[in-house]
Amino acid sequence: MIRFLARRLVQMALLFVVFLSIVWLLLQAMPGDISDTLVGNPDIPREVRFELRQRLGLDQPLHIQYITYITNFFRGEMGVSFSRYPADVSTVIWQHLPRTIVLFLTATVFAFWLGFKSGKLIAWGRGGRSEQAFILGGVFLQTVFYPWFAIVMMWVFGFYLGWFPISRFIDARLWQGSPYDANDLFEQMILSTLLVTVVYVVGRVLIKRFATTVTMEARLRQALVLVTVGGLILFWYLHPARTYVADIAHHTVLPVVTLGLVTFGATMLLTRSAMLETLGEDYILTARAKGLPDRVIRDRHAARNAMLPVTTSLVLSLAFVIGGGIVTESVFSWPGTGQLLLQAVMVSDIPLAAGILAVTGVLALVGHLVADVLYTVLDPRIRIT
Amino acid sequence: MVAAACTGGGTADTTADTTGDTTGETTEETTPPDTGEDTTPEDTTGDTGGAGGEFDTYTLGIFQDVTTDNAWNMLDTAGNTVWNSYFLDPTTASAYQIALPGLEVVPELAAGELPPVTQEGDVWVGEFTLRDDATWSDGEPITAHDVAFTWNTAVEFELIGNWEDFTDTDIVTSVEAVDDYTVRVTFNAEPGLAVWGLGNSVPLMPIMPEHYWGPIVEEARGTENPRETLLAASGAEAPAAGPTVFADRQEGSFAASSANPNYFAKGEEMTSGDVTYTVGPFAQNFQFPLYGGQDQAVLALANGEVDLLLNPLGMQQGFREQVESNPDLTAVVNPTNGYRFLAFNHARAPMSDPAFRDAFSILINKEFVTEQLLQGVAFPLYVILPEGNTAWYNEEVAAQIAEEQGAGLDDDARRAEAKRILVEAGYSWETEPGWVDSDGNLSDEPGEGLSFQPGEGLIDPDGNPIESLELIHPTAGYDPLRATFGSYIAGVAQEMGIPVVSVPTDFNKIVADVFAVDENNEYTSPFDMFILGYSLGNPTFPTFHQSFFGTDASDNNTQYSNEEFDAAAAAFASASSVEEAYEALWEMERIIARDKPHVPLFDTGILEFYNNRVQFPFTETLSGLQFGSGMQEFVTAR
Repeated sequence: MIRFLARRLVQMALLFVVFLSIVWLLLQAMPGDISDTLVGNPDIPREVRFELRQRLGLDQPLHIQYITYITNFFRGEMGVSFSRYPADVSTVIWQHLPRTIVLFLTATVFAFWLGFKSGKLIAWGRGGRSEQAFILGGVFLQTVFYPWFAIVMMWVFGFYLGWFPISRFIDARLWQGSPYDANDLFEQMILSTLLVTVVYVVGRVLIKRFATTVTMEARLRQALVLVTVGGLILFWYLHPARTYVADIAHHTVLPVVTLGLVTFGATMLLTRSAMLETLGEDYILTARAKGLPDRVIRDRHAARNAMLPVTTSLVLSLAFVIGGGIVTESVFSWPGTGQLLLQAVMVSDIPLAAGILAVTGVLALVGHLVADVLYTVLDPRIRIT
Repeated sequence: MVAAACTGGGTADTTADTTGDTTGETTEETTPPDTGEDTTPEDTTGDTGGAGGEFDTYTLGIFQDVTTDNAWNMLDTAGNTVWNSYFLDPTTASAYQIALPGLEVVPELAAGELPPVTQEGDVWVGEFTLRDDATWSDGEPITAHDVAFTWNTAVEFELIGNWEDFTDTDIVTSVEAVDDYTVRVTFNAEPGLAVWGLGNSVPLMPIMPEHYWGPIVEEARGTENPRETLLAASGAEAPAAGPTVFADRQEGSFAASSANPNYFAKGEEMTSGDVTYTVGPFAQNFQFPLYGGQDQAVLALANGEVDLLLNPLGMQQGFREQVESNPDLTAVVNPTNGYRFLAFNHARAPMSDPAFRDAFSILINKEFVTEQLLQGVAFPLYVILPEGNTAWYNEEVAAQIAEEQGAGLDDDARRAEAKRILVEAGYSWETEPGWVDSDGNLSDEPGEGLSFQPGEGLIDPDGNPIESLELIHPTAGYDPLRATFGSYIAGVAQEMGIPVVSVPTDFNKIVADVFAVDENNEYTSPFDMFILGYSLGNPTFPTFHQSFFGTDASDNNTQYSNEEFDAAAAAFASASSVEEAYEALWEMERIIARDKPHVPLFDTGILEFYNNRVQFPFTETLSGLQFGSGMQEFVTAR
């Protein structure tokens, strides 16, 4: 395993250099540069554009720019954002990254969990009306024109019913003069949720190991959910910034649900197909012949194998959340890296755009590695050599 | 009062034929009751200036992030975005400012009108005096030392962008404080209105507080990159001279400011154009929530979350009906400070031939395209200066130029005129265009019973066939209006046998191509014709003619060069009276209409939406409410 990981890490590093070079060259291939944003402004003379290009090093030959960029990148310097000069690219990305990760991670995990559960159940009870309804709904959600769907959700739940804010990340009316920085608070929310997740996972492992009966295991699991989720809610309820945390959470609901619904449709259909395929296997027939309970056959024998393609899809979709968020973030005015990437490309802010894509590349590479490792956990027939 | 979309900084200039009305005449200060923290715009508690009441929060939706809280950065290059200007510009003040809607230059921090310069030996000297009752938001007096500090810092740190315009180091050699309130500006030549009066220069330069920025500047001097250090410094705590003060900024979400408690002009009465109103601010807070698109912003407007949507390009026409059908909302359309045009490459044949350009441009039936094809969403242009610039616009001359350029002619008259011009210049065709009767006889003029026969294969006066010409223009996806004009122009030209191909091109590529420069920073102009649009900068002293068409000028990528035009541009720049400048400006318009480096095609109004909870002392103004950053110092609750 260690040799495998070492080999993969070396491959990933080489692949990343190639990826970064291609990204940089593609961005360079875009016509013009950031000095073009000053074109046609009679109050800003041409010399200013020339001077700006000189100061940003855009007057250097392409190969010099490339070598400088790559060298600096691997020294940990992603450069200075042209459009947010003189802010560092890494600072700008780090400001936006948590918001994107939370939105997409929450939506994706929620949608995969729900999609997998429902896909499993409707495949198991195939032929019923509920299956037809789920398939219809799933196909609709998978094929719907996403920007339109998001606007409709916003109109219904934000404008018409007024349950959720129409868009954006926080309510300016509440936050003006707040002693808290939204980013700092958001990072604390992420950390607390991560901590609770770790506690939950460890708890689940311990329960599985030490519970002596099925009933005891079920009760302990319920208690664990109560303690972790309840603890998290209680922590933030007692926190002096609870109003602000609630505001962020309130703003998060609609984009998460909208994005989650679309992802849910695809996951549910994928799980259903995988389950139907698995249910036709001989070992399922064997399990039935052995007289195992339906729940055991469904959850332990069929669903576990059906999980493989779903897991691949999950891991890879997590890896691409940063770049994939352009539409969602634009529609919901969500200030994440997707919107940042769009703005960077629009004004030829090459260091910033390359930086965001580099982070996406790293996540994609890591995602593939995680998927490979997860396979060995999920399917004992697969062994890493 | 300061035009955000224009410079981002405090600019002010006077106008041509406005009689120097407003001088910031002080009236009894209005002190409406405290509205309390939870007051909403509906909770109008007092009338101010006879127009409306004070209110708690004025909310202005924006579409791109405010990226800096540093006014130095806002006027440099990277921070020089209209979104930063909307937010930060009202926190600044300058000695003189642009009054809206009349576009006059009036004193802001200055105590009176700008005195003329005097010659002292080899140099010229101008002085103005600041009012002695003005303070920064922290209560410190605003002095001449702040003005000198601002100019000297911008020069020493080599700030660029709008700072180059304000510091004018080509002609301004020093800015000093004679005493606490007198500023002395020294010139190495006699300055015209462009430098001393109407253009972006020292009198219009936003003033920075020395007592706040002084230590930061001192610290920056000792760093490896002083300019970068200064631009990266936080201005969140900087005291303000303008009507608002920085309050908060949550990156990616919103920016906020609050009313300057010590704003020197509050309660004063202002007259501009034919409107008299009271200066506020009347809102206690100003919020700028960020929206990712117009759909959700209009929903938020209808939902009462926003009072006005700020966008330099205006709102999409598609929302207009929705807004107009909502009794709580208002849509306003104003002329823009810009134009869309067809440009010829004067260095390439046949575009280098005036006769070809005349014939080509007369073929363009702008009325037909704007009224029929574009269904009235655009209006035809014949001169560059926008009609909305009431201070400089000359209706009579503009109408005369329009007539000379064929306004109102029908298609047959245009074809006949184009053919006449081309024939007179020695052009011919493989297949001559004209009007044929039933027997096939060709006529040069349209008539009853005659039908137009398209031409083919234009041949130049030397007998060489004209090779295929490219007209590049934005794609329909980027701008359907310019795309429509592009394909229409190519079509009518082809009918006359002029081999023009319409080439819809990505906007960024057009810009990169037509503004390509060589290693000496000279334009290479690798195009035949293109269609683009320009904004026109400071409307109170429109220098765009010189910038776009002067020989070796900043944006002259058409290779147009004409001594007569350069002389008129020089006369405009050095004019010492408005009358001289006005004469020179319209001379330039006449020359441009004749020589056609650009053929003005059309423009659209700027469409804006606001919630009826707020009201403005005027809504008819060049480039709309956004041009004055949403009128933060005048807006009241209805």
